[in-house]
Amino acid sequence: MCIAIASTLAMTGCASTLFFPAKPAEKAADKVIDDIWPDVTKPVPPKADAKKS
Amino acid sequence: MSAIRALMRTLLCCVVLAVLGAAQLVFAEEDADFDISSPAIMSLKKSMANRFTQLRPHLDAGVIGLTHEGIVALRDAATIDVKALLALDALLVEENKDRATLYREIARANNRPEWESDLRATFAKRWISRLPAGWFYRDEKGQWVKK
Repeated sequence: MCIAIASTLAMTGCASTLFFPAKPAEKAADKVIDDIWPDVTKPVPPKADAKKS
Repeated sequence: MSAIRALMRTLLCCVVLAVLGAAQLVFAEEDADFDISSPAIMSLKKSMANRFTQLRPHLDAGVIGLTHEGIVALRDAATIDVKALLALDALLVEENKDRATLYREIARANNRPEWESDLRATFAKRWISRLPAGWFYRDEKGQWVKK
């Protein structure tokens, strides 16, 4: 029984090694990209009218 | 008979543990928040942000582009002279070294060094998806594509 439990734990350990949290990684990537390319990929805010009559 | 019961009990334990493990992984996915604030990562980001001002004109001109491997590569050197090309090549070497270190450091900062290649792929995907119009990226087939 101990062997069975140990192997199950080992399997879940392997699963967590293989498991990669893609969405949090994408969020982290976006934060890093924002810091490195601060003014490249953000939407450009609309320009205010130069002069309003 | 008692042996069968013992076996059934063992199997049940295994199933329960496996379900608990899977549930833990699912919750880990939702709650996970990558640490991207270690001193090494901050230093790399600063270095890359500073270098970006030099790389940007070449990205705008299509001389260089991003690749699906998460690095920056030379695309078309026809418009620049040899001296500028050598300087650009040195920049690319430094940039790609920083990028490789960045992916490794993020994996290490999160105690998951085995995630380095997944992080690299994720960053490559995000970088390419966020390229502004007119910039180039090299896809999995080795083809340069203009955004």
